[in-house]
Amino acid sequence: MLQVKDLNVYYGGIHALKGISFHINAGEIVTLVGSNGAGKSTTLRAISGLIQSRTGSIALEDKEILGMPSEKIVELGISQVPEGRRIFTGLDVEENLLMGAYLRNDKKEIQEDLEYAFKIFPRLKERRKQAGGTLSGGEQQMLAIARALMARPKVLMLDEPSMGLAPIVVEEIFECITELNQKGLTVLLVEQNANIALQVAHTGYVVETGNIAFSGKAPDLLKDDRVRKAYLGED
Amino acid sequence: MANFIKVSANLGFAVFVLFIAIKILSRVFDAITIKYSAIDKKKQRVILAVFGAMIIFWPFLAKGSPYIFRTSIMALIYVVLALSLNMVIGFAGQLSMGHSAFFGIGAYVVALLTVNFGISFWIAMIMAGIVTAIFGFILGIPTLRLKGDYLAITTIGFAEIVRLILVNWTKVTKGPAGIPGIPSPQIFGWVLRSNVAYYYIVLALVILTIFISYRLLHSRLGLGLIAVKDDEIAAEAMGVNSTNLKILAFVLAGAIAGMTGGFFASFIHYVNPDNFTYMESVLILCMVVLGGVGSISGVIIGAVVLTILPEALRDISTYRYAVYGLLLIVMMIIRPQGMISKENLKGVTTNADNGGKRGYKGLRWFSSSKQG
Repeated sequence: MLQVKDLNVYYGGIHALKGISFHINAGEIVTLVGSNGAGKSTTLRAISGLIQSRTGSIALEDKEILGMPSEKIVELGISQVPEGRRIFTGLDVEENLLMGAYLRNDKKEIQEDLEYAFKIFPRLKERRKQAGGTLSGGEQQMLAIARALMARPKVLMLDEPSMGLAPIVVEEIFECITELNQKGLTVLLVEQNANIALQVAHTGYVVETGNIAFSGKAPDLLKDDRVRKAYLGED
Repeated sequence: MANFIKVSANLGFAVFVLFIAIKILSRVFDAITIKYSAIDKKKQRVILAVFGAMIIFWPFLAKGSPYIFRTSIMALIYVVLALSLNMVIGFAGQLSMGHSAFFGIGAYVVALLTVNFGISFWIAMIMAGIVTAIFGFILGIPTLRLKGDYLAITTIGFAEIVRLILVNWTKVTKGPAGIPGIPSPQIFGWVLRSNVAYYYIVLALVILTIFISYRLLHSRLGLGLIAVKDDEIAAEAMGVNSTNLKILAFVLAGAIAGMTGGFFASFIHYVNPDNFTYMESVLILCMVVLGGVGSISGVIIGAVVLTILPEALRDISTYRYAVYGLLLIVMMIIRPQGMISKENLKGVTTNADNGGKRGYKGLRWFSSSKQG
């Protein structure tokens, strides 16, 4: 589905990603885990076109998307749930969702998708006309996910969905992600909370200082000593 | 020394009056917006129809006083200017402080074309719109890289450059002397000399601008603009091309302000660089801020109030510009969302509320405003 090869990103003089390669199969949840500043979020932003200074290759279904503007990439089927949720605080819940469908023209189907989003997240329906900024953190995360789904993505990219949320809410969010995946959505998940990310994912990649250190099936990585020591806080 | 004390005392008094006035106005407008949104659609339409009829028949109602009538034409000119600035500040969230430049360029384009080349007013006015749209595009380009205060400084610089060119390019603009004798518009040989005709022309401009604002706000582009203002990165992640939208806002605002400038030139039959100073930009900004950034009805009210108020307070006109500055400061402290804002009805906690809770106890009454 998505093939990333030898991706390099520079922030001015800083070489942030040093040749990252990984791939996602259709219907899979792939997670990038790693510590602060390892380059996980940078990878996502490079894929979605929010960072333009990059080299290498990113292919969506064998189509090269590197160098395309972000609106083109969204149109092709990659949508992103940005880090820190980034809800439009001045818009209400419904308008936020409609923003997710910004590039689509099919009014009738957008309405259907809106109802579908409210079906998956009934709490959003209750708050339909409420401003995005007044929602709780968990609700905002749900809204951010629902908003990204409104673009009808082939690949959904989530950047730190657990950030700043209570453990019980994190669990709820990850259940949602699993459920969406079971309905056929391909997911790329970036998480600092390696434990929960590897529990829901099929494949995991460990990112360290701009490189993929190692990778493997998620259940294997959970048992891997290096992962347990570095990211799960066990001796 | 005595003079200094007198001025300070007057300014202090002005601050006090502004505090009380804005406080009372906020309460009144809150009450009105809540009442208005509570009544049913049918009655809302009746109220709007009464207002509309009053505006259309205003020339007959204000027949007795040419002074009041002239002031109301000026008020409508400022309504258009404030609404166009609102597209940049309120919709796209770009702080532009150089709106008078568009106004001035438009006025001079019409003045030069009609006086020097004898071109009809209508074509000249459209030309003014095109020229200022191009300038809007040029000014819009820096917004790709600049934000907030930096953009504000750039736009001030732009307006100042325009004014200096108007003053110093004496061959074309005749410098500080200005260009007199700008003709009135004509339709099929009829010369529209009367103020009633001018009133309806500017009213048409007002309606056009309200229509454009409204359509823009309730279209997909408007949603995109508000998203960009709210969170540019998130908007781009949704596939919004923020660059194009921001430039579009500048181009539209520039074109409308330029056409208004052209109308203004024909209305007073004389242009001069003094009409398009930095203070003019500040005045238009004040109207937008007073009424409510981003709110169409609020901006209209802000423009009308700030055109009429200085006329009513002629006696203290020396303090006029000081009062505009104070008004901006006081508004930012106690009512940053303006008199009418959508948030009032949606129950968002605003900065004003948070500020109020943190402030001095004695000032809390002044700084916290009741939310619907």
